[in-house]
Parts: sequence; C-alpha cells; structure tokens
Amino acid sequence: MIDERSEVAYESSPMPDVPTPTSSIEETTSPSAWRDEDICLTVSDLCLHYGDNEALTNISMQVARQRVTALIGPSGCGKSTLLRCFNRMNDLIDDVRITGKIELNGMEIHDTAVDIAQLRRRVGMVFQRPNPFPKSIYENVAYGLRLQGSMPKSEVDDRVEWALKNSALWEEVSGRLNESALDMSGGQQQRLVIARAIAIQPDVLLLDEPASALDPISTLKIEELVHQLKQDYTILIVTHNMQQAARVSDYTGFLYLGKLVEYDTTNIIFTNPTEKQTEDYITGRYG
Amino acid sequence: MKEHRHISGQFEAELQTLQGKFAAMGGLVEEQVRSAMQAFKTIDLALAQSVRVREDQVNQFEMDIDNETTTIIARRQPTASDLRLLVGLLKSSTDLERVGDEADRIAKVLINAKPRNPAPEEILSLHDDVSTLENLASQMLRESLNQFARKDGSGASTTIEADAEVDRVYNTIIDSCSEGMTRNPTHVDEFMAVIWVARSLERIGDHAKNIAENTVYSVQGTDVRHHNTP
Repeated sequence: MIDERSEVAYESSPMPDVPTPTSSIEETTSPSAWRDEDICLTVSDLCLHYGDNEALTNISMQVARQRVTALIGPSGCGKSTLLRCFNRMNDLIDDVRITGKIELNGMEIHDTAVDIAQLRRRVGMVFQRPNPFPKSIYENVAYGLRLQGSMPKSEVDDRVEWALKNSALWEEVSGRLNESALDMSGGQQQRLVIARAIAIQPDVLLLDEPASALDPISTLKIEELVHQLKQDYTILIVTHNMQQAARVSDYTGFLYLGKLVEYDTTNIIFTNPTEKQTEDYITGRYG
Repeated sequence: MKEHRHISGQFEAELQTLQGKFAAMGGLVEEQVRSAMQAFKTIDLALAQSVRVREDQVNQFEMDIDNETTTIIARRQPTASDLRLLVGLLKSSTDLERVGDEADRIAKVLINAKPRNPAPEEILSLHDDVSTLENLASQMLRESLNQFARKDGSGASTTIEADAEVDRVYNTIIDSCSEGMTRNPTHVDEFMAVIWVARSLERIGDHAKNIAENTVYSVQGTDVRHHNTP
C-alpha cells in the first residue's frame, strides 16, 4: 500500500512530467503587456450559437500561463459556456455552432487533427457539484491514470499520493484510501475531484463554480488550493461569488450578454474598472 | 455620468447616512475654525473656550465614521467606486479631525497668551496677512468638502493647486515674524502666537488638500498624492 512509504521519500522524488515552465509575468501586469511565452490560451473572435441563439459574441482574450483567471458575470452571460469551450465540452450539446479560434500553447483546439480525449487530458475540468465516482478514494484518483494505459502499480501509487498531497487532501485521507469516496464530506469530495483532475497532469484546470455548493471553511480550502495549484497550472475559474473572484484570481473577465465587456488585472477590475457595466455589476447596481 | 442606485436599498441608505455624517462633521469643523479665528482676532476668551469644549464632538464624529465605515466594509464587501468612496471617507474624516485639532490649538494659543498692551504696530499689521491666510485655508477647506460631497474630481484638482498660495502666504508671515522678533525681542510671545496660528492655518490647508486628493481618488481612481516627491 502506498501509505506504508515514508513521506520524505515522496517529497524528494517529485513526479516526472510535471509542467515546469514558469510564467514570468507579475500579477499586476496588464494583459496587453504579456509576452508570447506568458500566454497559455488565445481566444480569437469566438462566437457560439445554440441554434439561432448567440451565446458568445466575438470573444477575444488571452489567458496567462500559471495564473488564475476568473470569469464573472450575471446568470446567462455565457461565462460557463466560454469555460466549456476550452476543452470542447460544448461539442456534446446538439445544435451548437462555434466560429473563431482557441489556441492552447499555439495549437488550434478545433483542428480536425486534435484528439478530443487528448485535449481533455490537457485541459481538466471540475464542476459545481462534486462528482466522485462510486468507488474508493484511491480508485477515483487512479481512474484517469488507468485510462492512459498500463502503468506499474507503484507508479500509480506515487501519482495518487502526489495528487492527493497537491490537492491538500492527503493528511485527511491517507489512512482510508480504500473507503468509498461517497462517504467524504462535500468539501473533501471537491478536493478529491481536483486530485483526480491533476493526477493526469493537465496544462489547464477549468473550475466551474467549484465552491458554490460548499460551506465557508471548505470554500476557503478550495481557494487556498487554487492559490497553490497556480504554481503548476493555468487555472480558469467561473464564479458567481465576486468576492471569491477577487480573492483567488490574478485576472478577471466580466461577461455580459455573451460579450467580454472588460478584462484586466483583478486589482483594476475590483478597484477601478474602466467600463460602466463592470462597475454597476460588481458594485451591485441596477444596470 | 449617471450613477445607478444599488440593488440593495439598505446598502444605499447606509452609504448615504455615512456621507451625511461626514458632511455634518465638515460643517462642525468649519465652524470650529471660524470661531477659533474670530476668538483670536477679537481676543474673545469665552469663544475660544467654547471651541475647546466642542472639540469632543469632532472627535466623536471621527470615531462614529470610522466605526460605521468598518462595519460597511465587513458586511458589504464594497468594490470599485463604493470601495474608493469608503476609503476616501475614512481618510478624509481623519483629516477633518486634525483640522478640528488645529482649531483647538488656535483657541489654546489665545487662552495661553499673555497679551501686552499696546501690541507693537508690526504685530497688528501681521494680522492682515493672517486674515488672508485664514481666508485661503478656509476656502480650501470649504471647497474640498463641497467637492467631496458632489464627487467633483476636476474641482478637487483646482483645490490641490490652491495649497501653493497658502504656503506662500504662510512663509511670508514666518519671515516677517522672524524679523520682528529680532527687532522687538520683548514681544517674542506675541510673535510666537502669530506663528502658531499661521502654522495651524497652513496645516488646515494641507488637510484640505488631502481631502481634495481623496476626492480625486474616490471619483477617478487615480492617486495624485506626492506628485512633487522626488
């Protein structure tokens, strides 16, 4: 069992293939001042239609590598739709038409040569409600690894422990890895789902309202986790909770009626936004 | 630009109550300065004493505004223009309280002074310059408060610039006092009283300038402090 190994041994043997390039940008650097190597995702003139209904209109933005980018806006503004574009989750919905481009590290994700399963391995996603599989804690984290092909059990063990440590869950569950994930608290389940997502070492993590179903303490743990994870991952988070966006993100985009109204450093958005619509939304005024 | 109302009527009311309290504090502090200077010019010890008594009310305003601002920040987590308004109110109430301290100081100068009659002509002539300084500083204070209430950022920029004239008149008075004390060493106390009052008026100009800078920050989100600092 993996919990028989000493912790020191794991600390001194980091997982291979962990993304290592480090973003050089300061959190206060405006998106317009980023260099090419700082950019993980580039969205160009993205439009999305559900049938005749245009849900996203000419979205153009860049997402900084190893930074947290929050998408905020009222219900129905398109923020979750935009988030789901980054790993092509909208492909699962009938009657969706997408134009424009999304490049992940320079690769156009809509290119016919792109393997969607591979794309989703690189762009992991966590949803509003924790959705662990009805399996053991260990099996939940190991699940994605097994899908990748055969891997020696010792290596799976290492990765499971690494993922649980990096999702701030190891201390709470190391003694009960074979227990059902469904017996965990909601906050623990959400961190388990994050562990499952990072076990396969994606480049990008998409978090869709990851703490909206959690109590305040579990929410703070998720936020702290997001803060730590950005050292290795590019993170996009959709949240209704503006204070959460203010706390966890480096950059914030405000969407309204399918348009990206304003996109800037979180400091600017929450202290001195340029657009009146942004101002009215974040100060809770009638628009 | 038209400002929309908050969806939360309670939040809207809390902000308006706080701004009303700040305006009331401003009115009281202006009155304190006016009374203190009136007392100084007419050697009215009773009036000076009343300024000293009312100083407690000024202090109470500051504590109330601090307390209510902290409560709003904790309960409402304000952002953008709301946050800047509250930061501006918090800092400006501190400046106003210090203006109140200066009025109190002027009253104390009079109460502690030992006037000799007749005062030399040189000191009496200085009173004209002190009146000029009083008018300039009081105008800065009044305008800075009006601009804060009206959210008038461009007007506040003009008030910031007006501080240079206050400093110029103040320096003229100090130079005159220095020369006067050399010529009339027996009247050092009277000259020192003029210096203390001028010093307080100059400080009132500085605080009015701070309030104007807070207005620019609240309205425009730009920090215009220390622009002349190397």
